[in-house]
Amino acid sequence: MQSAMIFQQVINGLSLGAVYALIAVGFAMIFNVLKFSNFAHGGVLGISAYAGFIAATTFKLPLVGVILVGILAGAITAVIVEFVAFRWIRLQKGQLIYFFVTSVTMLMLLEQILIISFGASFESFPYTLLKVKAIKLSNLTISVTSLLTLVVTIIAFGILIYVLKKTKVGIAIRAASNDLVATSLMGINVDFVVISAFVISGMLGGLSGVLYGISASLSPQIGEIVVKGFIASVLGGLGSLTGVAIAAVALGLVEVFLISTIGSGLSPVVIFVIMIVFLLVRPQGFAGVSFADKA
Amino acid sequence: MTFYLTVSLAIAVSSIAVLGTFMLTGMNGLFSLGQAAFMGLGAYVSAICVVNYGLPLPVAILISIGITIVLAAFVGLATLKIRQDFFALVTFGFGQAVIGLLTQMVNVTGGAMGFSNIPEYTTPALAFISLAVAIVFVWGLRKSHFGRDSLAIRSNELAAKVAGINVFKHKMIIFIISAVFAAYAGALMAFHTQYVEPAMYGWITSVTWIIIVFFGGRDSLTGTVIGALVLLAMPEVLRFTAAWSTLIYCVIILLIINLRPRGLFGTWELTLRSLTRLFKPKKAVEEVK
Amino acid sequence: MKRLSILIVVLLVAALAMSACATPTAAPAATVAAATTAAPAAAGATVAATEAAKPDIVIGNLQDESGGMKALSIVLTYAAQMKIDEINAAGGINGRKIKMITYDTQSDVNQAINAYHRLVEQDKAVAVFGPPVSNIGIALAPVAEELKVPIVGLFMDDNAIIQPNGNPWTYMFLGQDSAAIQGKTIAAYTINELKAKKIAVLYNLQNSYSVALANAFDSLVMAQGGTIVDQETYTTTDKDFHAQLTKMKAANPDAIYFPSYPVEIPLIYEQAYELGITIPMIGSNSVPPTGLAPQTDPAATTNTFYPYGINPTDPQLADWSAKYKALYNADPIAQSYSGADAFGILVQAITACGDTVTSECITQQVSEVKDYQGFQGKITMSPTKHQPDSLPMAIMTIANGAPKFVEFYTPEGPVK
Repeated sequence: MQSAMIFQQVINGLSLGAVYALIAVGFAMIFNVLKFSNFAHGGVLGISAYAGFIAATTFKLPLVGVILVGILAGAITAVIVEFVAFRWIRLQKGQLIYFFVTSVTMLMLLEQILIISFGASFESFPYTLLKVKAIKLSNLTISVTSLLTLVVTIIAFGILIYVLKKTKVGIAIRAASNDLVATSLMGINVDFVVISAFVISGMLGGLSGVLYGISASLSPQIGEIVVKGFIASVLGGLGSLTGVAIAAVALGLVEVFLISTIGSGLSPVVIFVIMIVFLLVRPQGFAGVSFADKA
Repeated sequence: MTFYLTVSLAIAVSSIAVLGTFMLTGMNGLFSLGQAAFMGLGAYVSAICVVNYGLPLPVAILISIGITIVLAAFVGLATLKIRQDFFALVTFGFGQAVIGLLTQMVNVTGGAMGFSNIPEYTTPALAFISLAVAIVFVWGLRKSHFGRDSLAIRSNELAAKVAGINVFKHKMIIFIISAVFAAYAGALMAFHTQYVEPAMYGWITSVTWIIIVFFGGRDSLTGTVIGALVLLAMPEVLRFTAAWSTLIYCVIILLIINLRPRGLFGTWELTLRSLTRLFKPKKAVEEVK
Repeated sequence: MKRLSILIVVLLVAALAMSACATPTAAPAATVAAATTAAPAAAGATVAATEAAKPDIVIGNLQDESGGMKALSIVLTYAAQMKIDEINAAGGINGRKIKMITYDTQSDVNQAINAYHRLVEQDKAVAVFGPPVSNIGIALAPVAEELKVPIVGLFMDDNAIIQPNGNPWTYMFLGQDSAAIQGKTIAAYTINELKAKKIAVLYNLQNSYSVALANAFDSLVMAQGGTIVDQETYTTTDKDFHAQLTKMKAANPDAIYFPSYPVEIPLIYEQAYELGITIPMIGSNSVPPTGLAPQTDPAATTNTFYPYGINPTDPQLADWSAKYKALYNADPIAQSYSGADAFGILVQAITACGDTVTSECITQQVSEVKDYQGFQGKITMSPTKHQPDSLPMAIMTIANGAPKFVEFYTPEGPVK
């Protein structure tokens, strides 16, 4: 009985980790290219989740349709966010801190839009969206949304790596991640690269928003889950999306482990200690490149 | 106490915390998501000292400040040598940890039930005088050598180091001072509202303070104080348009950062000289002509 | 350009400030109030013409209209409004119309405290109708002690109505069974009727309602010889309970108790169902409406029981229920009924004060309420505990996503 529970907890941890990984990779796209923490990604997540919700309830679209709507909404919202919140600062070569401030402001703004449109309480996706809720293998179960998230994350990640390594846009984004100025000097249109990064980030955000919304119910504050992406991105290391994904999955596993041992209340304390120790021991993050704040 | 006095008092006390953020984020460019946690620490420790152990108010406040200094030093030591993003992350984690701890220690803190029955020791005099002292302190800090070092570090940390400034020590001191400001504000607030609960001290509160600082202008103390008074009063004044007012307020911040990144007040300060300049500009222009 | 942008910003801020000039009574809840008081006001005008116009009785209303507790809180406003319209149409209380001023607490304790100050000091309310939110009740209690205006509400945690020294908070009154009673009632049912011996509990340690229910439940279970085999917690923002539920399932309990709020209830039901948990899931009185279809998959609620203030299928409630549904386009929930009772008690107290309607008189009258015929039964307020002497609760179950009545129960056993 004990081992069955442990296996189930591992599955729980991986499921949670998959959710975090999808969010984290979308977050990390911007983190890598523009070097700041884009909290507005949470807003993108929220808007896409609600867009999917409308698709599911008003237009009665099936699961696939809902997901596509979410992805589209995410991409559009992300580009709008770039224009409204970050473009000006980037063009004025403003300091990093301004990006922080506008990104959290955008997060709040998008949250308020959701509150005004939908009211502050919460909604659930129709449970008829998924015909099967959970898959059972002997004593273990994995919920279908978790499985879906896991599979989608792997596929999305695979596509992302392909895009980044093999397509022109992807290579340009990687170049920009390395050095924005040098990239523009090479004749690459940096604006286009930035927008592409936001589109990709937005699509991932939309995907994670819809999937998370289905499994966790919707509320205007749904975007605040983005902090998990933030944690994973920083711990995973700058410059490595793989590191971020692994850090996110690890975070999910650690959270489940902590909840089942010391309870939900004290977990943040332990996570904090782990964070500090980790950063002292490996400041460049899990798989990242050493990067000191240049003045 | 009349309604307006109650609200003004709360605003004044919150402004002290905002001043802490002004020093940390405005003057020094350190983005901390855990300032509100220090406020929570100040509130709970002083409340517990007075209610559970019967200590007099000044002693309770001193103890809470002492504990805050120790914790801020610990957090600072671990994180101030590393990158901005890490600092934001660790202060975030710290904030979550503090809330988690406060919620968990039900026997001492009342946990989710909150800590109530706190006697009302914060008089309007105490609150307003504290705010005045805080403003004077920050003013003095900016004018001093220390304040100029802050500007240097914020503009170009590498150059500041080369110029001989002990960046790490400087950041530590600022971090501790701003934590103390937040803790003191927390204590005052606890003895005013007579009730505290862990949920009041989350990262969104810390973020709100940062936004207030940038609204008024990170380089203008006057701007921050006025911004704090205006923005903190808004929820009360606009009770019934809550979501819309927050929305407009976010739009205002975005407009300010995009169009006038130095904040509404830029570098303008309320001094005798600036006031006289305000009332005398036209004469000079005409004379030249 | 810079000057223009500063101008725009200043104008925006000014516009915000201008909108504040609207008086507080233009609050959003007023859309409901305005529509419904318009008609009675016209009718009442002819009656009032023959008497000298007496000043309105101002009752404050603190509810959560835009926060997470909106679903449970706004129904109190509805219930109160129905009663007010009825009374004002009949001429008011002793010839004086009732005027209800509502402020949104936004589930924020500080907002609630400020709003209470405003109601007492500016709007001159003689009594306040409070929310079904324990944290806010607890926070308001010492403030009410100071400002001396009674608050009648549905804040179920005993800490909101009873001081640490055992005396009641002078000005706080609860209009339904407290969390202590509810927890014990459902615990008694679980032990006696479901024959459960080992029970696992999942509660929100950041929420006083959840904590109070869990504590009461535990104490009765242990007193009756049962064991709590596992106790797990979660926090208010948690959405994933797989870890906790998996651990609880492994402890092999006969039932799981989860005193939760509307947001988590569908999630806990569905995640427990996913994990293959088939033992009875015992809930709190917040299960409707989110625990029912269509918010929750009916397949996940095939073996569940929860306590409820009233039996919603009782034919005696049908009339009021139909009127409520016609006005507000939603079925009433337990809080609608207990809210109506709480407000009714307040009104009865005000009426008993005759011509001298003061806060002190109302407080005295409320604490002496005896045999008030409410939806929840005959309510007698305990002067020492400021809550009704134990009212029986309806034990409900869910069949095909719809609520089904089982029987009435008390902590001592079934109602004979």
